[in-house]
Amino acid sequence: MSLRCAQKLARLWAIVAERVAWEQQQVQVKRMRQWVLDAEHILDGSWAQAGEVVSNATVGERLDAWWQELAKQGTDGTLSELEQACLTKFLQILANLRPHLVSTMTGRTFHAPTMNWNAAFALSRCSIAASAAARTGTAMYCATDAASRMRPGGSKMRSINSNWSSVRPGSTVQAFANFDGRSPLPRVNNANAFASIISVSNTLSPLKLAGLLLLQRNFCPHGKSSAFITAVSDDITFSAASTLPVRASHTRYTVSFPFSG
Amino acid sequence: MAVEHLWPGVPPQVCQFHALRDASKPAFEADRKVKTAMRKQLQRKVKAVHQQLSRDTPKAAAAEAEQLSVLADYATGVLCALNRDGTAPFDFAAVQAGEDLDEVAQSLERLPKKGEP
Repeated sequence: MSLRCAQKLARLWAIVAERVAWEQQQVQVKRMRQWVLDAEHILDGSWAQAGEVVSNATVGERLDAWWQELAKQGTDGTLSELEQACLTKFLQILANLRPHLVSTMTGRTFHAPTMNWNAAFALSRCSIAASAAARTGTAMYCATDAASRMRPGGSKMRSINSNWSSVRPGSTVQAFANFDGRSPLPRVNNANAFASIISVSNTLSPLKLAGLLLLQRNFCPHGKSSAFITAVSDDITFSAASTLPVRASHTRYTVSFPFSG
Repeated sequence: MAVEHLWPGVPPQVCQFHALRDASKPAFEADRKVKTAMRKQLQRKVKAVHQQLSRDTPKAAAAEAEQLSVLADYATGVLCALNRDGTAPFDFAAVQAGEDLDEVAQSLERLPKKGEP
């Protein structure tokens, strides 16, 4: 190696060696990152042994135990001030979202919906459409989906008829009805909400009877929607999507529900 | 609103990814500050070395030019490590940059012994 190369190598080595100045901070950050990885590890159910049943209940128990253990760490004085502040925030958010992260509902307690999906969605339809019309200038008949806004190559999901009563308690709402009193115009797709069965499994019946709710993870398309709501079921999952404009964009609701009653 | 009417009392489930991202935001910010500090401190120096190496390589003899180009690759590697971007909630830039620089340092240690990377 030439002298010039040796000098450059030594210089490069000295620069890289300067990273030790942040070693302590990196250790802290790494420890904080490990909290997130641990939470993800619990939520994804990958900790389960072969043949072990992973349910929302078991995930919830494990998450709670881990949360308490982490909370103890925050008070035993082993963490730095920065870590304690981050841990406090981390635990606080997880505690607040706990009922929304892992469903506590079981096959027995998760009751059937109180009304038809389309009718329920129609409740918010007028206000959403009016809001959209006000903000975007979209014609009301279009905002209320009276005319098809289906684009070429758009959703191919077919609307389905629900098995539940189409009559909402306290009022009668005809599915796909317009709230401005006009009869629906002919259109390609006349549904307020499109629903489709995305998964059905009859093999889970024993678990359902045992009151276990199999683990179902809830994710939303990152950055694609301003609202995305899910509820989980044990053996049958429905997905309903609305193309009604909200905030001048399309909002998608995904709802899952059981037939267990 | 529609979901509440359908299943009153049932807590709507939130996206776990976004929940973890929100919960880890302070930690992610701390990580970003560490990485920014590292980059501010080291990037200028590495760039200077890289420029010197790029300038010297064409003028050097073939054997030395090859060694200088290897060192230039190392400098590029260090710059890449320092310019990594993290993605919340799992990918922390400072952690990744630290691991990358550790690997570079280990490789640089082996370099004079073996005479090759």
